[in-house]
Amino acid sequence: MEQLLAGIKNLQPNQIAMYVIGIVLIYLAIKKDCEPMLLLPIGFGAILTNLPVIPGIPGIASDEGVLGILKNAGILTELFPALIFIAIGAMIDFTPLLQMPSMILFGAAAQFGIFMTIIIAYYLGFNIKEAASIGIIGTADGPTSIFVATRFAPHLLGPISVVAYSYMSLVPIIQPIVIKALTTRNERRIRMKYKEVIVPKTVKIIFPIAVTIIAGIVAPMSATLIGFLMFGNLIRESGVLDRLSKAAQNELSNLVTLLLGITIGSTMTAEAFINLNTIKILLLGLVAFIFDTAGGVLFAKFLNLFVKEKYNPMVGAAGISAFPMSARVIQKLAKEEDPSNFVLMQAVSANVAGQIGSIIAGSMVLALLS
Amino acid sequence: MNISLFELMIYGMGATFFVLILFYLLIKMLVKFK
Repeated sequence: MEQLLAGIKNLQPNQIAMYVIGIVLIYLAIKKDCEPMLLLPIGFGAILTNLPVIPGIPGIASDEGVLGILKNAGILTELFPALIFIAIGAMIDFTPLLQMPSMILFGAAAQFGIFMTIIIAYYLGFNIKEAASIGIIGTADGPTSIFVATRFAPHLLGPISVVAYSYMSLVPIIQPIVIKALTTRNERRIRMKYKEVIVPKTVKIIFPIAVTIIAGIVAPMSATLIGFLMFGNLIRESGVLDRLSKAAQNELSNLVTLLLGITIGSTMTAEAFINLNTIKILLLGLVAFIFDTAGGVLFAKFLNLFVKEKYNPMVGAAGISAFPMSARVIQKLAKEEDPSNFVLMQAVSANVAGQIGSIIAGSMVLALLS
Repeated sequence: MNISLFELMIYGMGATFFVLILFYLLIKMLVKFK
């Protein structure tokens, strides 16, 4: 009888609070369509991991439990984030970037939020490695955030992942506000020339190989993420591995996302999640996205001081890694200001550059603080 | 490695720009010699 009632006896009030948080995440995923692929498994994982533990029987999230085994094998070894990058690489078409290479600069400028957030987080009381992990939310790139947090602050992995994915789904709300605050109507109406350039297949094949070698030499910390991203892209562009490319885009992506989500949820124990730090991370995530957008927009305005053919500053904001959502937001804004203005290709180009830029910036933070 | 926050920002942003400019030059070269 004692054993049968052990679950009820061991139930803590903060565990009940985590069930509510888990249900809220599931609600946001289902009803509000906020990154459902991640938030739903994370929410359910949070509920599972906070179920009461019966003394003498390993809990589901303990080292002997299923979620504990998945965490040790897939998250702490950085395997899941790395595998996700193969899938992302197989999904990304770098052609717009190869057609408009100057857009790659926005992929660097829009990482500004990372560094501003690190500084603010540090002054809010986090140590430098925790602050760096929080700042990486500014890559607007979930797997990179998970990758860096696993190395520098595994105890903050739960809140960092949830905040990163939540704000990514809020890009359509955050970016327009920041863009409108920093640009005039005339600037938002700037038209950019688009000349369709045919990129030969050879270039598309050499690009991922060359990028991997260059990144591996000048930024060795990026080798895992850039290497796996470009491996996925090479499979896509090779033209001889269609089956593998489709498997990476569908089966691999779906399976790893599913396991990644529920395993991240398992790090959200009540003790690790219900505290002041989570609220601070929530605010810092917003800071990161605001400064990322501002960095891209202001850099475009800066470039416009020197170039003949002006950049629409909104395109700079697409330099964040939230692909392809950010590019769509920029095109929508451009259309609102001038229904005949078409900047989607430029925005997609900057957005693709942001994918590379976020990994490089994340790797630089890892290198500088390791 | 001891590094100030200011150095982290300057080196981090600088190095990110440096690597992406290398990629920019790579793309330019690839497209030129296609």
